[in-house]
This record gives sequence, structure tokens and C-alpha cells, in this order.
Amino acid sequence: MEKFPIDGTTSLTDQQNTLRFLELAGPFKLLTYTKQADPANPDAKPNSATFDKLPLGAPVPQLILIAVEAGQNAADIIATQLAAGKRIVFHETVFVSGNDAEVIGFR
Amino acid sequence: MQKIKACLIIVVIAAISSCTPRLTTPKRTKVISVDTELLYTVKTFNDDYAVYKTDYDKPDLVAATLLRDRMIKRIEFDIERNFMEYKRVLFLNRAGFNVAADFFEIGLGLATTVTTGAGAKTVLGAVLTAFKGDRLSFDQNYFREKTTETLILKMEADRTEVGNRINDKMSKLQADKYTFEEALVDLVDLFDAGTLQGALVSLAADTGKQAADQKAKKQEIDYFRTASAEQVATLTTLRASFSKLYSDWSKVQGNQTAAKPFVDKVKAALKELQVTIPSTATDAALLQLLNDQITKLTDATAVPSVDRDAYLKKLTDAFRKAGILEQ
Repeated sequence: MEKFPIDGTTSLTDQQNTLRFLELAGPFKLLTYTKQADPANPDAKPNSATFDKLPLGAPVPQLILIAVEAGQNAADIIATQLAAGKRIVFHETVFVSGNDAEVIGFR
Repeated sequence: MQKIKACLIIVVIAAISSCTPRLTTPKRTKVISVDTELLYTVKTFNDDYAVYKTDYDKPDLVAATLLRDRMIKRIEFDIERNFMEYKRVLFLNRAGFNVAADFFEIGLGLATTVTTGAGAKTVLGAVLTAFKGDRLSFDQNYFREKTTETLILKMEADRTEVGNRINDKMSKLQADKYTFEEALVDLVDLFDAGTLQGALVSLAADTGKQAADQKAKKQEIDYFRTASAEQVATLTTLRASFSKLYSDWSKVQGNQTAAKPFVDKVKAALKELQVTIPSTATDAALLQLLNDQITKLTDATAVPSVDRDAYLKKLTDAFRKAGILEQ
């Protein structure tokens, strides 16, 4: 199991790129993605990503992160992605651009 | 007679205590004096910042980077100049206090010795004890019983570390990767490192595991940088090439002759990357070794984010030359 702190002040696209970069470099597979509030440093907005190591040669399926915007229903997003053959990796509130955001990860 | 003696003792103590020498530093040249015209005024800063933002938004990253660097250096100069003054005042004030306190203690001790009355001796002895207590309390509360030299050396070391970090980022990253706002955070760190509080906290952190862990955690966040879309695209190609090579090798791994072309490619890539190949390594171990070169990208100490692009290029070139990646 590998654990990395990801900068929660960045955009969702940047975070997706960073997680994807880590997966490809490993090769790893993202297991969990959560926000990690730090009482000692309230200005820091780290998210925590844990990965499982993949065997050599194993494919690393594309990871996509989708934010549930205000007024949107998470169930609708999930239903659409499941219908497209995707599977849920996580559904959490994480830091995006420094603020709390409901994000769903699929692959 | 007793009254005259008491008055004399007070005069002696006061005279000795006021004998602290007035030490100063050599006179500075005008351009680095605190009231120099080179001071980065708020107005000049605001003007520069407005131009920087315009360049950044255009985007004219070359111009924005040049201006960013100039703004950083001007603020650094102000911090440096103020730190020099702070260091001088801190040293002189504390030394002055200690000298005065030493003289006062000696004077009181002397007065206690020469005084004949038992009552007066007791009073002077009590005053001396109380004064020593106050002095210890001052040292403990303001300086945590650290010498001025220790504190200043710690400040210097921390400031050098932060300064190097700023210079490193400035020289390697353009304004879009190391924005002025991010530099400002580093400049605040630079300022904090040159304060009494900063030095005391840093000294405590050196010995306190929890504080050290926090620092390491902050550095880890600091070092693992956001990956760009281009970096992900390059790595996707590299990973796909490696996976294909591994898959092809897996199909024939029991047949040494058939596996040889794939293993030779791995060896060639490792050679290009200047990785020492153990003579006893199995084919599987060689593939693992090549994969380890890609995995290094997840380790900020092995491949700092500022070197990520160069390292990806090095991997791409090695894969191409070895025939793992098509031309």
C-alpha cells in the first residue's frame, strides 16, 4: 500500500492528472481518496490518496474524477457512469481548489 | 554612619551597573542602510504586481517570470537588510542586559560582604536572590536559555535553507509552475526563519519528533507537485510501451532464445539510463529494475518535481534508443 498527499488547493483536473501520474508511474491503482484536515496547519488543504501496487505489465485503467455540483444528484452521475461500463473507486468530500467538494472517482 | 554607608553602597551599585560599554557595528554603506532609497515601497510593489498579473494572464510567461524574479529578489533584499539590523540589535541588547546584570550582581554581592549589620545583610542577600531569579526567568521565557550565538546560527541556517529553496524554484520553474503568490509564501517562511520565535521553534522542532514529522509532512506536500497533462501523456506512452514489452516477454519467458531480444532491449535501456546491471540478475529482475526507473517518479527525493520533465525525457530517449518505444 502506498500513500501520497495531494495538494487540495489545485483544481479537480490537476488532481486527476496527479493521481493518474502516480498510477502510471507505479504502476498503482487508486484505492481511497479522502481529505486530510491538519489541525496544526489549518491553511494546508491536503487530500490523501492510497494506492495498491499492481503487478508488472498490468493495465492501468483510466481514472476520472467528477465533482457533484450544487443542484446535481450524485445518484444520477453514478447511474450514467455505471451504464457506460465504469466502476466507482471512491465517493468522498475532498478539498478541490481549497474548498470542500463532493467528488466521485470512476475507472 | 549607617545611613552614609548605605548611600555609598547604592551609589557604588548604580555606578558599576551603568558601566556597560556601548558597542556598535561598523557604519554601513548607504545603499544597504535601513533608510535606503532602494527600499521596496508598497506603491512600487503594487505597480510591479499589476504588470506581473497582466503578463501572467496574457500569457507572456517569459516576461512574468522575469518580473517575478525581480520582485522576489527585491523583497529578499529588504528581508535580508532588516534581518542584519535585527541580528545586531538582538545581540547588543542581550549582551548589554547580561553585562548590566553581571555588574549589578557583583555590586550587590560586594555590598552584602562589606555591610556590617545582620539585618541589612539579610535584606541585600534577599534582593540578590530575587534579582538572580528574575534574570533566570527572563532567559527562560524570552530565550529558552539558549545563547544568542546558538539562536543566530539557527536563524542563519534556516534562512539559508529557505533561500536555497526559493532560488532553486526560481531557476528551474517558470511563473506558471512557481507563481509569485507561491513565492510570497516562501518569502514569509524566509522572514519567519530570521526571527527569535522562528529560531526557538525550529530548535525545538529539531529535538521534538512530532514537530519534525509535521515539517517532513509539509515538505512532502511541497515536493509532490501537480502533474501536467503533458507529463501524464508522456508517462502513458512510456507505461504502455513497458507493458507491451513485459507482455511480449511473458509469452516466451521459458524460451531463452525467444526471450533474448526483449531482455536485450531492457539491458540497453538500463545502460542508457546508466543503471548498474547485476551480473546475476534474472530476466524478471531486469524488467523489475527497468520498472523501478519509472517508479522513481513517485519519489520526490529521487526525482524532485522540478526535474520531472527532464527525467521523463531521459526515460523517453532511453526507451527509444533501446527500441522499446517506437521512433
